[in-house]
Amino acid sequence: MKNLLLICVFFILSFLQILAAENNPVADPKAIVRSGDMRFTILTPEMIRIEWSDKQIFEDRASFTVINRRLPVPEYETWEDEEFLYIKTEKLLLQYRLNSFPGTFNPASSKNLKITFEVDGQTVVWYPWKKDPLNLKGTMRTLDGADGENKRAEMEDGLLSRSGWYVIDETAERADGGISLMLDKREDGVDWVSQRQDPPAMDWYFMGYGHNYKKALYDFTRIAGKIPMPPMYAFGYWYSKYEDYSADDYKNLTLEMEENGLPQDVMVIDMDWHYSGSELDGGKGGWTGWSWNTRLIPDPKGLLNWLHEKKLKATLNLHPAYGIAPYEDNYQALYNDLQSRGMDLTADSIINEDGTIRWNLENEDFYKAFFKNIIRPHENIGVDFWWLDWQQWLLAENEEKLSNTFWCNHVFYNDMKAKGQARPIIFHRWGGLGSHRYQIGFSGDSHTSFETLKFETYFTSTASNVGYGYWSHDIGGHHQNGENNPELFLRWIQFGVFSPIIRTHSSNNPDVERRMWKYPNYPLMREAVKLRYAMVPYIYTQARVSYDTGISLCRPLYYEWPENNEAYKHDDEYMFGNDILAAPIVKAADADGTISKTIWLPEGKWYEVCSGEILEGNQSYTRTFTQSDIPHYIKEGAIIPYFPELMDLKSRPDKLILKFIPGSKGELRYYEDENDNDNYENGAFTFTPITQEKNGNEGIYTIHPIEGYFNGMLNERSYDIELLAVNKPENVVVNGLTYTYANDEKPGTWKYDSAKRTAIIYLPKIACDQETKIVVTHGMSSINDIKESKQAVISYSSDSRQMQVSLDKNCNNIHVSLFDVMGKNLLSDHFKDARNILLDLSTIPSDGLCIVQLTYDNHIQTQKIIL
Amino acid sequence: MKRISLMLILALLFLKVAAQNYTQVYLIGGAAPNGWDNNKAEYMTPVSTTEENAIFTWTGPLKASDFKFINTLGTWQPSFNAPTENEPIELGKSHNLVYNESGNDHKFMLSESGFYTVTVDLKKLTMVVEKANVEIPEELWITGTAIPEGTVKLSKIYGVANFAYNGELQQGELKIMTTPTPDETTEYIIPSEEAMDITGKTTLTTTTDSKQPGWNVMVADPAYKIKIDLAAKEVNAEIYKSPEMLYIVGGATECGWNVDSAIPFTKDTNNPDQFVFTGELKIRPENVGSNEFKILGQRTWDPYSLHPYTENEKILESTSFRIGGNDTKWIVDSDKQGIYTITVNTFYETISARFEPTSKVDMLETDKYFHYNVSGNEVHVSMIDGYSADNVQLISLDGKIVYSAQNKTNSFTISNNSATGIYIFKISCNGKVFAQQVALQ
Repeated sequence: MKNLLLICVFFILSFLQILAAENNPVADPKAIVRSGDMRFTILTPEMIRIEWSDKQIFEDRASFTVINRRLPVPEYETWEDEEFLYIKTEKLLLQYRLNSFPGTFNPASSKNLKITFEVDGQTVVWYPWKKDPLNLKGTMRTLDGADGENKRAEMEDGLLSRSGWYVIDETAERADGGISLMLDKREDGVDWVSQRQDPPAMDWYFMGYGHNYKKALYDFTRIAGKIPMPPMYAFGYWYSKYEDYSADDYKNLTLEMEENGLPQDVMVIDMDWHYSGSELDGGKGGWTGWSWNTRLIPDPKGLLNWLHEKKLKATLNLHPAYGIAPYEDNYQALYNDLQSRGMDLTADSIINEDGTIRWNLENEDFYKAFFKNIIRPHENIGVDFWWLDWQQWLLAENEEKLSNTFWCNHVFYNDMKAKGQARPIIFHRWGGLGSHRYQIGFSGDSHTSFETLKFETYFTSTASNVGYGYWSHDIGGHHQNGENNPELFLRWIQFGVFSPIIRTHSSNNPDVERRMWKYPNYPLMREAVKLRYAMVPYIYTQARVSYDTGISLCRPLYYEWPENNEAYKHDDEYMFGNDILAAPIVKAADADGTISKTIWLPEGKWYEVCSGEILEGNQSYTRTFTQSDIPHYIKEGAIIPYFPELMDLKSRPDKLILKFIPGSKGELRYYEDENDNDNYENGAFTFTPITQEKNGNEGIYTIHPIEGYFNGMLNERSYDIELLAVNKPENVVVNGLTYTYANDEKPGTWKYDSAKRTAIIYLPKIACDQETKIVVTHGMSSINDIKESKQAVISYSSDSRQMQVSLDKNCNNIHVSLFDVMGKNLLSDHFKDARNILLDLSTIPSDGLCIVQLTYDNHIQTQKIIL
Repeated sequence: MKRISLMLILALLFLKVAAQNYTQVYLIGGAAPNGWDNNKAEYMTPVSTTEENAIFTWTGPLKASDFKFINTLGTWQPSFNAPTENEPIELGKSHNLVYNESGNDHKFMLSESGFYTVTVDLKKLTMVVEKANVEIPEELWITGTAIPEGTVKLSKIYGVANFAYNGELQQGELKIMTTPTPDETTEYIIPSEEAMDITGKTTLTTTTDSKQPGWNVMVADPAYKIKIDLAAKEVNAEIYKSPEMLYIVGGATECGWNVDSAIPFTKDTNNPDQFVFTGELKIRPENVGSNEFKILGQRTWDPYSLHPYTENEKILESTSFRIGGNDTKWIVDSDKQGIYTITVNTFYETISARFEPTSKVDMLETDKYFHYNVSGNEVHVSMIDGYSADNVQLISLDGKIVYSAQNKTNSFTISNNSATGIYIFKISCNGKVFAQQVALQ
């Protein structure tokens, strides 16, 4: 009964939340101030819409960028004197010269309109067309041709600036020549493009958020729409390569991944699914195509069913630009449908001489007929979503200033949404502001090099400055000259683990290998992919954070530390969610296989996952990493949820691994929903709060009752509780019951791994709606007493092939491990109450550089030796 | 028939005359501020347009190089050219212009950089170049709350009227002045638009009113680069970031123009702005531009490259460079082929080169005569097969020999008394010389 009541309350609250979240492009009249040809709309204390129209025609429809203006009216004052109109909010003071055009030219000036506000203790003045050299950039349409840093200068401005302001200019041309046109509401389908009523009018959104970048992004998503959650499977591994694979090839690839223990979730089927002009097909087809190539894939439905049985989703590539040729399946049905809708099929703008129906997605009749006759037949046999790969002319032919990229995104995404079945997802390029509503981003054809990989780390996190949080890169690079480089491919995969989407891909060069299991270092690649799968509960929770806050999964360090100059200077570091700082390796290793990387850590304490050490922040460290290492650092007090080992993301594990980073306090709100539909937008989701706190030498770790409801939610779940970087606890009590110390990993026991300094507590299945409290009595361990120490002397004699470890005093518990540069464990030994240890390494098979990891009492020490 | 021909000729003449545009003209060329970019040619101000003349004038900085005139931005034809190729400019003398729709593309050649006034008459087809009467201050100072020291003298850099500040800025305001301390003669250089941040490209203006605001500094940083170009009336400023790598590439280098194999510099671990290259530069006839090279920030041509200010600048005489811009190259002299040490500072944009002072420099095949490896702050050397090192030296980047020994045999170790940094390790053996930069850590 109590549960039922809770569920009812939750649904009422969710309903109210949904009502409040309903998008409405018409602002509250109380938010509007009119003056002559000007209309000002006060949207937030930091954001004012500024419109000028000498016809005094103002737009209240949704635009490509802005779909909601119905925000609670912030407090503001407005008054006039003889010269000026003033509007004052809590953050901004706007001054407008009565009856003037709002800007001046040559030079631009504040004579007619200015906004004054404070940023970091300095008074900042904005006026129309003021230049901003400190914009922090956003993203760009594609990384086609990206080679190292060559695309950096082409990146468009983003919503954030160290100057503290940004203006969304709705009436200015975007990078692709389009503008933010209007959207006419359709009750039962896709809102449709429309020109502005007064095209010469100006329509700006001034954002004066100072360095409160997070609020700027949050408020942007309040007016421009939320960043939707991709379906859960999208966070798994996507296999992709541009090849003329047959159905058997796709099946063999899947089976080979299975045999090699590689998890997988999406099979990408590139353009050769359709006829593409091959001589083997008599030259039929081309770059654009809509009919299955039955020479390669004789039974498309059978293949898609087979992939689905293997729990894979299938996406098909489209290059739609060249229309629908007469030889395509369902051409006649499309023709007849268009005719029945009254379209003039003799017009040159509609049809080519050879009968090809021209691409005309800007026409609503074309959209309806095309989706009905061409798209639906593929979806009906099992195509899960579309990889739109528009590479041709950037503006629509039949609608002025309409961006083809944006429009493909809008129509395909919303068509899938309108179907109301699976959670909408497309795979296409950035089409300007507003594209964050249509995920996933396909970044195109970059060049294979470490320099390009490095640039992608910066590019991916910076895209969050426009809310474009789900770029998917061609992991391994698209254009590859020269031989396959196992190290580069591994490093790219490792970056993929800490990027929004992990999708390998390349051009159709037959010499380029993207089957990672064919590489000599495949075990490290698989290890990385498995880490990705383990982290999906964290990633999916962070996807919900993006949906709720507008802060994308990968984001620059300056969101959290805006006043620290260093936070702007380390391009290849970024926050991966709220709690993890990722700094993937993006350079080739030294000759010995290791690589040094200098990493700046922001203030606070950070758990270095590769070493298990706690490092003090607000300083830089130069650390040495092996091939298996993906440098990442977790904030003190963080709680990171992991899945147990999985081969796909289509089922919901009934076990969770919770890793607790030492810290005085911390909270995780673990998120779950139905994974592949839109019900999460209507309140069907849960949060499980998990907390940690310290009380003297006791650590209290609590799994709170689940909040919310969705279909298929678990009633009970088991947990492995991992307390990282701690000394061996003295006592573990769960819900008042003392657990026994044992090594059998059974529920109701706990154990301690001294090498990793980790205590693991095994909880049985517990009811999700009940609280579980774990009280751990620690000895002297805490976040504060852990430090790197170099008191031990490790020396190696190549003559005797012996390694000597000398400590400055007797230690109770000593653990010595030896790893090669690939991360393979070569030796592991325990010693008790010792001071000098001699290890015979003559049986170690490999030569070259090795890493010694020495753990003794409260210390961890690593050192390189050369065998 | 004759009549028709005459009419055709007249018609063609009319068309030709009609194509000539007397309302605008642009100065373009290697001498012009924006080089040969025909979208950024210099607009010439109309002075007089009558039936007899169409006079335009332009005043500004010109480099010692060539130039001509075009009628329309973005289009090469029609143009107004010199009557002869590379016609030397005589200051104050009237030169003839040739209207050119498709003929010889002759240019004028200016021998000395400076400020000039160029006047053309498109109808009389004449041109005069004169020294301009522009006063450029010899010295400038930067001042304001953004300057930690209060006031700092700017350094003079390459160009007619170019100054630079390289250093820290704190949050606040700055302006530039013509005297070290304000007095009644002081002129201030300030942004021409209000409330401008110093970062990026801004235009400047001058005032004697000390109360006029200068540039804002929103972002404090220890490493700003500010460049003031009084001629172009521009200020360019950026927060400096040290490049990770530099590479040398060119016809004079071992890798030729193969950018994928461009040869890396060594970054000085004690000074991340300083990069050192040691290697062989010589004329390699098998390469295009056999004596040329330039420096890149990556193993692709873009986006970061270093160039001399003038084309074919001799590396041994070069002291500064610019980042990006025209694709000029350094050259090596035919009588100075061999081992070079080039030191580049990317913060101060300085370059210096040293040619190894030996007449018989050759790359020793190390594996034949000796092995060496660097460990910490020592170089360990093992001579092979009874060879001896006639001379062994460790040379610091400022050219000081910090270690020297003769007739070394077997295995030996050299160092600079535990000091770290980049050195040249030089060894002579069997009549050959080997030199390599080493980083002692």
